[in-house]
Amino acid sequence: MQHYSNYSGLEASVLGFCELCRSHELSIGLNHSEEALMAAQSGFINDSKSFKIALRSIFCSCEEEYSTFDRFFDIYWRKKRHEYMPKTRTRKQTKIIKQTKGSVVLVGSGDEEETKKDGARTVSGANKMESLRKTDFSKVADIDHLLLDELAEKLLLQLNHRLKRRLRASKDGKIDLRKTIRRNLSQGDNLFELLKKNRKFEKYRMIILLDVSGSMDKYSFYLLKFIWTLKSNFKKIEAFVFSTKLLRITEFIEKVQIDQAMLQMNTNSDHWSSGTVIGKCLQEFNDQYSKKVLLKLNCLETTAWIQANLNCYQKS
Amino acid sequence: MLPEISKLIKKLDSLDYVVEEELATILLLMLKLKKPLLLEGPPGVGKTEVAHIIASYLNTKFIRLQCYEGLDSASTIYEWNYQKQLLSIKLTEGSGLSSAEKESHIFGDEFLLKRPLLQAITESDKAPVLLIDEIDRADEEFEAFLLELLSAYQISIPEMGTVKANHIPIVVLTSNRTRELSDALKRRCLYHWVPYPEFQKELAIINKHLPDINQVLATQLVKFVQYLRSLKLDKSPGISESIDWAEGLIALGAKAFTQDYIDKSLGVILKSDKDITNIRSQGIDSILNEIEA
Repeated sequence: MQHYSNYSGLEASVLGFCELCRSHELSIGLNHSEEALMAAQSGFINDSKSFKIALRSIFCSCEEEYSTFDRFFDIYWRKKRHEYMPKTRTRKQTKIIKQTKGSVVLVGSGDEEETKKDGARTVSGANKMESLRKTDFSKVADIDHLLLDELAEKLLLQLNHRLKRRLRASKDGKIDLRKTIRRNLSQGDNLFELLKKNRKFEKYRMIILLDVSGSMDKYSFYLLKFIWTLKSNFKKIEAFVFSTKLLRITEFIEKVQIDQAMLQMNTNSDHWSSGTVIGKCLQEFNDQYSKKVLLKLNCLETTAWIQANLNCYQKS
Repeated sequence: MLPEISKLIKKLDSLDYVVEEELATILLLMLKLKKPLLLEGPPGVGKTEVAHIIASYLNTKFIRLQCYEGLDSASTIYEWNYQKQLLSIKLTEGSGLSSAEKESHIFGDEFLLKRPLLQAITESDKAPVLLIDEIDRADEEFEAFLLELLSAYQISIPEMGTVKANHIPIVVLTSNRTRELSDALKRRCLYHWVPYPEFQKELAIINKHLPDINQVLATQLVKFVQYLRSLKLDKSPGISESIDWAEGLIALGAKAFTQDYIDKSLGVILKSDKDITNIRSQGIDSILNEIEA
């Protein structure tokens, strides 16, 4: 627990504030501390509102961090304000200062306790969104699921966007000598215009086997979204879900809307969140689908915990 | 409010730019710290205009780099004028110059095509304003490249060596937040989120652009636009659309903000067929009654 009230002097106060923000979600480096100090020294400290805006623009890197910053600024600087900022106090303001004297320490300790409770968010130096990006689905608190949905949607869009971009031919390939000579024939032997080779990409086929048993509950929903996103970037995706049975979901993921795809899967599957009989399911896959879909296999992905069913898996 | 900030607000106001205290404070800080400013916000809220107005305020050169997917260093830093180099080689064929002399000649300033980033750091008179617009559209590779430029303000050209900035340019980056920018880039910038303007500010902006506008018309128009922004539309109207709409209504000879004029000119403010259909089905009359209430 930090006792920020122990600091004295403008420099120490600014650094103390940096320290407080750093220990509460905001990612602040040494350069930020230096800039905060420069802002204070260049006169912004003389007006509390201006100083708050200035420090916010230095410390925050997205809109979502504003509320956290504002909270800590108000708590910390309400106490320090009278030392550096012009005295325009009223009786009411004096009362507020009295209230905050203890709350600096209290809020500091309160948040630490909260952080300890919330295991999913304890990623050092990361904000809430960043920490959620790195958190295992199984450790996500229920309250964060909506946020996670939003985040997953954003990530999947980015993924789709990037995959599409990779498939586009680059302009910066090697020089195509044949094309260049042909194009510049009219210029005599002067190669005025250089033509580049275009890279050609081949779309691959992909087969995905997804474990949707009970133990995979927290992952399977997002992985299904992931599969749905991948569909436009591969020549063909063959997707199967399994737990105690095997279900081919290729036709469902062809749906334009992800909600429709999910609804179709939901109505056609009665083994969701049940146990896992991986061997039987793979056997079924081998018997029914392998000849159709394994003509040219490029990638096989399974998210199941194969170890538990290793014997059965080997037999199949 | 600090006197310097109120002075800046007045100065920008005289340049026909309406700026609130928060943005003015950040602009002042940017000029004092000489740090790049990253402006994020929805499209059409006036992010690009900030860079223009800073250039006017400082009476300095304005250099713009519009980002897009696939933007590479050749389009942003420099290119050699290949055709000119080739001609020069032909012309100096019989001059008796050594190959080293020829090489140093064709890789000189004369053959260098400066692109926005190089222009910004080689400006000799005064620090220019460099606008890197819609950085979120550029690739991450380009974003990583910018890190060096924004911290060291120098560029390396293999044939010429390192070019250092004569004056540190005033850099403004804008992003519509179509993707998250890297933390490394954000750390090098001051950050400001530009939201849609509040009623009073938007009204003031319209009055600045169209001083002769009927006040009742302007007020109702702004209320209507603010209402549209509160709905879930495919594309919410920005400030530029509000100004265009006001201009359009004046051009149509509208004296009052009536259903007829709104219906005729709805395409100026809404840029999606779905949005227009939604608003029409909701009933323009009922919306007018609601905003009046």
